[in-house]
Amino acid sequence: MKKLCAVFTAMLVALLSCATVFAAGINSAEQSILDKLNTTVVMQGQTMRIPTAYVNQAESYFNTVDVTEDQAKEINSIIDEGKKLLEQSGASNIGTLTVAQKQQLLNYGKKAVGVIGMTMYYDSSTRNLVIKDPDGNIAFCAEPTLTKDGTIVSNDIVKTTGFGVNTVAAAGVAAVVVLVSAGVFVYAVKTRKLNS
Amino acid sequence: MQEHTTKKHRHKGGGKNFLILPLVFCGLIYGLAALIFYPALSPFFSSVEMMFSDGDKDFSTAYENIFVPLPEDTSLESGENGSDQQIDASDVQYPNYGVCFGQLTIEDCGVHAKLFYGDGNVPLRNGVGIYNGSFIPGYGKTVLVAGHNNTFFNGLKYAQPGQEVKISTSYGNYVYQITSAEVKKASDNTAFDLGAQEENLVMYTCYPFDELGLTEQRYFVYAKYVSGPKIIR
Amino acid sequence: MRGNSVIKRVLTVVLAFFLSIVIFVMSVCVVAKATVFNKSFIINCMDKCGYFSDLDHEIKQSLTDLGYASGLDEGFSESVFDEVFLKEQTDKYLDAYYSGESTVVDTVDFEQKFSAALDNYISDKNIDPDTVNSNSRYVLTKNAAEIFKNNIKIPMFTTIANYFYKAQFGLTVIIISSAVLTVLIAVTMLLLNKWRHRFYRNLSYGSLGATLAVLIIPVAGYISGFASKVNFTQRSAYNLFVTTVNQCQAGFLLAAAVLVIISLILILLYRRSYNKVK
Repeated sequence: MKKLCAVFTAMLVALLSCATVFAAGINSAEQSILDKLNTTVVMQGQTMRIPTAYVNQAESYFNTVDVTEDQAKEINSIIDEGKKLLEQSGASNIGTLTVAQKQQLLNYGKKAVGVIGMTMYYDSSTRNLVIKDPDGNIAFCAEPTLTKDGTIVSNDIVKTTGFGVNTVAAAGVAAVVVLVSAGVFVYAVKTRKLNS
Repeated sequence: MQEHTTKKHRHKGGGKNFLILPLVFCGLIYGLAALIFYPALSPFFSSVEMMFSDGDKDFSTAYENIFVPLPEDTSLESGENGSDQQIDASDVQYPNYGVCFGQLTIEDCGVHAKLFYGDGNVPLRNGVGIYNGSFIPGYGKTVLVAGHNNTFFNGLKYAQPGQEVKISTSYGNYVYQITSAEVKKASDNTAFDLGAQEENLVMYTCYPFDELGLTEQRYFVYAKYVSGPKIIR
Repeated sequence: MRGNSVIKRVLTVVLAFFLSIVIFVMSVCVVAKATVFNKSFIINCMDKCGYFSDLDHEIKQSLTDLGYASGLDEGFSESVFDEVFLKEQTDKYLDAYYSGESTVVDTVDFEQKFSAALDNYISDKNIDPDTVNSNSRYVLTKNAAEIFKNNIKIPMFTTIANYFYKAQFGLTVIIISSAVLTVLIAVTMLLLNKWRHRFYRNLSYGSLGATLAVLIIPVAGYISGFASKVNFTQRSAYNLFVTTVNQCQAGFLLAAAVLVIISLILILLYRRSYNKVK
């Protein structure tokens, strides 16, 4: 439950189902979102940011869709809302948010993925958040994390070449995936536990 | 209890009360339950709802393969011509997670493996996998590839600077040149840079090779981009 | 006089409603105690759905993947344990869980088996034991144990453990209290009614109301098909969940059937009493 709550607000879709023709490349609207994703959030005096791996997944996804300026505006404002929620929460990390706050983040995620026909669910057997595209392909599956600004933590990125105790069918490291199309961005954060 | 025989018994309601009243009771029971429990449990309903979804459950370990090899003479040459090639992003079939979309070959090391997008159990059981927080070949950024040290990446132990790594995909053939190989801890922050702005290939596997047991060490092989169509974003 | 009569009727109907609540709650608790809160029931569901066979395959597949990173052959995982061992360990885990002792899977037995299998592997492959780093071997064993532990654990059980234990105790109290209340309400209704047939009639209203309420649970479950929609990526966990839910629903159907029989008996008694006073 802690991990579930900690994950949230999916950013979605590193790769949607392949279409033979799709809008491609990063336009200015998408770049503005990526820039926004690269900003930081302060939680209990600690400056946190989304790991590069997450932003990369968002970027990969943007290559398969076209985000309009209006959508980007809405997405960025939701990112700001998410940041505000975290900064004003009084929590030092996602795990210590109240149930209502976690639920709010979760609802953002569900609403976001639902707009473009994607579904978000929690896999109880592996304790991961999973998002599927309309074709049923897994677009995101993992536990997202936040890193402290200035650090690059690779603990969950480098696998035991295939086997990872906490990994699931998809990625071991949660990726925050930007959910576009609906113009809803869900900001998934979790304070990362650094391996000792 | 007394049974009155002097007064005539008045029977009201009839048999339909055996249907109406129980139905009313049933409705009231659930109404009350909702009133009492819903406020306390409603925050959890959304969470519980997320544990269920429509759609068929697929437990198979089969994977999709979208790799269609390009002709041999397509962009395999290294050098200026090969590195100037470009491909529009709209012409690239981006793979989904867990999909086989290419082939990775290091002739000098005897490495021949299917290339997957994603580095979960299924991809690594059947080939080598790109971490989905990195990028696909040609994107101009870091390509981080994992493989088992006992199977497909066992040959990495023979990796030497100067050797060629070939990655074939449906949208282009790529060549990289190994620059170095190092043993680092899995948690080493400096092992690779996912934010690099130039195309680079990082392959890794568990270390040491051919030994029983697990360690925290990984064998990283670094390669620079030589040729292949650059994806125009 | 007439006013008193009306008040009494309203009161008996209200009592019948409370009776239906009490019987409903008691039925739900009895079914819960006989199913989800009963270790034998879970084991039975596991046997029914081929849980151990699926689990055996899943764990061995994961151990094989671990082996790929650890210098072990593909066939190694087959030599570590068998289904019988799995059943024993699952039984042990469930025993500890249901008794409130622990929610953690004990991996000592597995680690011993794994270590023994490693020793056999080393000897069969003529590997010089001195070349096997003890620390690496330890890390490997611990990782394997972690796989085993994560697979033996029933999904969500750890999450709900606290509520589970409190509910276990609470169920017994609720069942006993409900039984007592049922008797009290029945006696009160008896004293309020000068006509026996009304007594039986009001009792049957209560039992029929509870019957319908109990019946809604399995019917809603079957119609929604929610059990098959659960998001478990492991086949063993998925099949276990579906089978458990189906069996629970069958339990509720059985409870509803019992209540129907009781209601029919009460209606019969009502008809007989009514005919006597006509």
